[in-house]
Amino acid sequence: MTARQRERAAGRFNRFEDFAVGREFRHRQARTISEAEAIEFATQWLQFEQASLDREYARYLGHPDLVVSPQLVYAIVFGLTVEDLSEAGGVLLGADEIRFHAPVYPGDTLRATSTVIAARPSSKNPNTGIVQWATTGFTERTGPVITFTRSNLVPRAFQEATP
Amino acid sequence: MTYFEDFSAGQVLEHHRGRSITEYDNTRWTLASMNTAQGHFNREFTPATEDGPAAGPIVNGALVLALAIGLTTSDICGDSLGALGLDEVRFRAPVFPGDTLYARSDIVSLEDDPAHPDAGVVTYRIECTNQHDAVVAQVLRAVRIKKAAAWRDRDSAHSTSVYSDH
Repeated sequence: MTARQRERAAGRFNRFEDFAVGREFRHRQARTISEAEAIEFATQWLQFEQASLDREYARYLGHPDLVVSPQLVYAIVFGLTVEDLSEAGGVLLGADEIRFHAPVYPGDTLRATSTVIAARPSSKNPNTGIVQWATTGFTERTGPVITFTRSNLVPRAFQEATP
Repeated sequence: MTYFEDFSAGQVLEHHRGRSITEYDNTRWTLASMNTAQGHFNREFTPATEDGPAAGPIVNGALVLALAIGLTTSDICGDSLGALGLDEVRFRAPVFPGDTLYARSDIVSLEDDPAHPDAGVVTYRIECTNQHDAVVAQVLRAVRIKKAAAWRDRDSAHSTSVYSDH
């Protein structure tokens, strides 16, 4: 990070110290998924599942419409959490217990909430910590559609993100 | 069609396709998915790793994960009844725009699901590698796959009806 970037970022993002275990977030952005982008995502990222590409086949399986690729649902719900959780600029380390609870269809609107479940200093990089959150993505129509936990490296307060 | 009965535990599948990820792919889909982490779309912003700053913008992990799974779909789950879950998603090395990813799957288990007697649950471990054969991501995936005994005749009739008169 350059000095100018550091100056721009100062105070804007949550840092390691901001993530007390148990803290909850209602992420303010939401996202409606269109049919065009559902098909484009499925084709561009090789999600060659017939139910995500062929409406007649989706209906044959009993769905009312094309099924939005679960990986797009994950990417968007994850994306909705970034401004609050990980925009300070540490890498994603992993995710666990990703569960898909209900299909998502074009026109559905995704929202997300998260809770801090663990936070500890990084043993390798003293300017950072490792934070784990549990996130739920939901639609008004169905309730939860996805739940998962993830861990990121998170820079500490007011320090350069690198040693 | 690939049915539940076609798989065996311990089976290894080397998926034949690879895909190169461009800077456009990363910027376009990072922002389309509402991900505001600049380390994916600002060339001057280098994300922090445990080993220090990354060499440049890195590819969004959700996209690496999507591609790792996507590379397996034609061989494993093109006509599945639904994705159930993902476990132990781990990013072993950063992926940079320009890298090419490949995938290999190990079939870990095949289980019946009493609530869905027409299908079974296939659990498989994906190892995603780059053009240097370095592992970049790993994930354990569970998907519901049709049983031939319950679906083969129906699928055949559906295919016939879709293609009739053409």
